[in-house]
Amino acid sequence: MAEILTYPDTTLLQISGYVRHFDDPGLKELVDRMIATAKEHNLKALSAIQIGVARRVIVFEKDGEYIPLVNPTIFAHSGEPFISSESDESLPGATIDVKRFPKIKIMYQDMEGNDRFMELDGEDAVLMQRKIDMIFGGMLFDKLNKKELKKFFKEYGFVDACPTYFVKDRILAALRFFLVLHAVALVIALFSDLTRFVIEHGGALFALETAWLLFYAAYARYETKKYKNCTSCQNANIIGTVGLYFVPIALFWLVSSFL
Amino acid sequence: MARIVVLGAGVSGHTAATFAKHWLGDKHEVVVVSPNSKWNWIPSNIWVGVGQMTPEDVTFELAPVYAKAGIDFKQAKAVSIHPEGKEGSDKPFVTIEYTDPNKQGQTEEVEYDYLINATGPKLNFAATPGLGPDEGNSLSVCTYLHAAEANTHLQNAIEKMKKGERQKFLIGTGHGMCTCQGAAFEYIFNIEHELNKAGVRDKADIKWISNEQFLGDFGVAGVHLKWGGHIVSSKVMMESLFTEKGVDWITGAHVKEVQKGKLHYELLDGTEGEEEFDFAMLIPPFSGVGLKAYDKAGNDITDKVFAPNGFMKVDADYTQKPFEEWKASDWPKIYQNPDYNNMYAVGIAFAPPHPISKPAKSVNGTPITPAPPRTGMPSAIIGKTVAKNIVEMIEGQSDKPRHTASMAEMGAACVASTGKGLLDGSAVALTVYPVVPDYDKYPGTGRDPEYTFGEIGLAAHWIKHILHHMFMWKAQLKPGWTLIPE
Repeated sequence: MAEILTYPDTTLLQISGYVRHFDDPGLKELVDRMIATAKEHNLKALSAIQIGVARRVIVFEKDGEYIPLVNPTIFAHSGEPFISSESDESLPGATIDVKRFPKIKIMYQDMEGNDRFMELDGEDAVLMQRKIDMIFGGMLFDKLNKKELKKFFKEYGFVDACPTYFVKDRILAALRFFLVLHAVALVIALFSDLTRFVIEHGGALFALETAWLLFYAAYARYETKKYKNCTSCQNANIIGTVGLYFVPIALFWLVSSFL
Repeated sequence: MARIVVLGAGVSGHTAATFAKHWLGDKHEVVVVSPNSKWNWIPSNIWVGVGQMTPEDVTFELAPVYAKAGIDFKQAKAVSIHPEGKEGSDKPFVTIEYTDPNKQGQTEEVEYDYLINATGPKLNFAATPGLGPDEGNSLSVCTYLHAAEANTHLQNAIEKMKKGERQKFLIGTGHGMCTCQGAAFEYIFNIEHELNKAGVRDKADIKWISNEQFLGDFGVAGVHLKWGGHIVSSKVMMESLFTEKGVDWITGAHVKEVQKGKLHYELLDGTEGEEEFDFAMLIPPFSGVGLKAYDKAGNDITDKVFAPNGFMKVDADYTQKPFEEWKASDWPKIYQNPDYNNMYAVGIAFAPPHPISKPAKSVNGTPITPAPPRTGMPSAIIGKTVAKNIVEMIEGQSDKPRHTASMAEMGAACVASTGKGLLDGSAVALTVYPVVPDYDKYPGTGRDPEYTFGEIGLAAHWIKHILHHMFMWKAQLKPGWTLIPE
């Protein structure tokens, strides 16, 4: 038996990988552990990620027996989507309204790697849609829009594993505001002496804005080490942002140099 | 003086030819053979298909650009490759047939020292009965002319909806072995966006049909996107996006036949279904362009040079392997033909060792697996790398290719439009690293989560628009073109 992880444990946000080796004894051990855990907690279905294993495996109780579903995907659905009020053992105490299909068809592999198919409807279909979402890194709250998401986190007192706002975003927002002012001043300076200082001090402004950008990059790197699951935390994103912002900074400096 | 002959002037071939000439200068010759007189920035065809751009916006005449660069341009289609030469000559050559109106139908033998096959794909509409614009049942956005035709049909549909008539749109892939799901994805959401703008969205039923095993596979086993404040698989995000936009979907489908206003499909579990439509844009499967190869004695060696799907064999491991045995090392690194080391294939023209997505067959044995994409950024990088290797060998800096560009070792950035508009546009910007999952190096998803992510939003649309102009600028070899990345 294993412990069932609960949010905000960020392990739950991982995207599980395919099971590729069916002769791996670890697969059988995993499934046995999942079945024992599901039985212990009286669950009809359990995803491997819920016990901290990022593999595409679900155990599902059907006709009194737990069936391992390896690499499951939903390839067909039918019926009008309806609103389903759902809760999950990995998101204790929360109930979320999500749109689900009443009937689905799934494809999966058995423990020998053979392709299998299953049709599900009613509560089983709803449950399977949620469990398959989980192996793809999706929690119930991922079905909410931005506004609903904020409300959800506030209502249930959850700490968002990946905050919507970072300090680094504020640093960038301030720089953005400064660059807009710089651009406006530069345009005015073309026609009036009122903002001529932006041309006269073009080099200093370039140095200031570049330093600001580098400070952003350094702080972003420091801050994001804490949030591995957030896209905006990644090195490539920081590098891309620095590159994008450097374009207007360099452009303003060039324009000032030629005026 | 050495001569490089490049067959094809798409993203990969054009990149290879222009960089090769740029690096070699006038000391050596670069010849481009392409049946088309124009270069086409294919990613923007989506916007032609919804009337937001014209064919002129996404194309330019190749001849003046090549003349300026000192590249010999032959508007012709390649017919056959003779890598051993012919009786009386050891010099390898390709036979071409002119499509240039002034020389229409004339043939010529073009000798080469190095050959880069960048012919791209044949749009294999014939693989599905009734598929494609020529049959008049479904549309395509694979060429700018197809896209312009699709737009005409779209505008007609909008007019009908304005008169109160309901229209059903079916967008996706027209065969179980298609690639380019991303283009179809862009098109379905650009249509949805345009219908909203025209005020007729409530009169439209929009449905996606594809050969992906799950929504969001995109032929690359899925990507990772920011959604709800953290990274999720594209499966989760796409289902939410489709649901939010009121777009229904069918996945795991092999389209068997397209008729007027109706298509028949088979699903992974072997069940069959049909869908009616008023407007269908279905991407065709790709195959090789049908190039033949002959040895010195004139014997047909097409099977030796090309894989059964018509794409050229390169330094990949083509051993048939099950999914669990796929390795990053199966993928080619230098794109050199194993039998003739002065022949290379780049972009879609090289034969991939296997798909990127997990393979699947229906219970009836019908393969329903996306073919691997070899377009966009990776194809340009491959073209440039091959050109660099050849240039170094010509200049005596190396006696074999030194630079590699394996899709299992390179990352790629992609921006997929979901609606065009300065303030109301949106797009999905994403990066994947590596393009082909390396399950040994990155256990689990096969990709590095540090460099595999994406996000949807207005800023991504601006990037897409800027990229359109940047790449059009670059391809026309305007000042600074070499500084613009692939």
